[in-house]
Amino acid sequence: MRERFAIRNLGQWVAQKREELVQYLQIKGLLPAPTEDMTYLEGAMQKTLPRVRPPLSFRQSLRENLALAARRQVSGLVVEYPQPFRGGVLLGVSVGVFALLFTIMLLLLRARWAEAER
Amino acid sequence: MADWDERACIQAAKEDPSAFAELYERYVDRIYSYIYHRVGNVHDAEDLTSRTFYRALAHLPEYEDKGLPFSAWLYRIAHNLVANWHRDRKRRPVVALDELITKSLPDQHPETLAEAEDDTRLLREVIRELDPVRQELLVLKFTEGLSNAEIGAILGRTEGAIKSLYHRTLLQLRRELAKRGVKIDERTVRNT
Repeated sequence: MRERFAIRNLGQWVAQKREELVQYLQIKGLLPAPTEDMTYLEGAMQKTLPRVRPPLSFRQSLRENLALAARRQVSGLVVEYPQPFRGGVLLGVSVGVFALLFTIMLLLLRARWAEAER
Repeated sequence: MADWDERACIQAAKEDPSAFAELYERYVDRIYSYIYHRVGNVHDAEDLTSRTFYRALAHLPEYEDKGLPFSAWLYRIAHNLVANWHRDRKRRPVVALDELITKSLPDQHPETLAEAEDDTRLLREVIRELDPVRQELLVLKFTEGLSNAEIGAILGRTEGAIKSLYHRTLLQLRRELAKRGVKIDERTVRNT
């Protein structure tokens, strides 16, 4: 997993450096400067990607929740939005602890059974 | 709002978090719009917008004015949250442009309108097929109207790199549209 991230980051870094090199060479006149007229395409993009507005109820509700969080922050309590992975971590740890206890019990019982059989 | 006013607002919010409401009012629509285009559905857009503002409120005391607008800082937070969202779901970002309503002028001929609609639909499809960074660049540029410097600050790249990437993205778009037999011209722009 970590290797995949490292490779992806390396790929992004190489792509970024390549872009910077192309830009530098264009500025220095070693590569032709971009001259194509993209006005129409830019105009079409402008119409294709319009700004959207949040629903009013959501806007209002978030404003109130933030005001509450701000009041709590004044009293020294920092309110962070609940992170979904925290629930997952707690569940994972609980399952892990349960599995560990179960395995220990199983090993103890197995040892006792083996002793009784002898 | 002038630059001075924004600074005053930020300072006031640092001293008294309840003053954060003014910054929220000013930027919530833009942040929501950006996130919506990046995640493609209302539910996640609302969730990530909430997270962005909660995080901004909590970390406001650490905010430093580096000569960029406050919005760049908010976009940066939103950008990181959206990146995590995509990583968690391991899926390609979807731009839910089909859900958006395309306004048309009343005096347009139905055939012309239909052709323009087709071109716009194809343009949306081509945007969806771009890599996430290029999609994000287009949303920040066209939906949010940000400068190359601001986009660079959000995406962690130099202004020059953004300029170059933008130009190559447009070239790629034009190439892909040409492959599908679409030529973007004055008619398309007028009718979309």
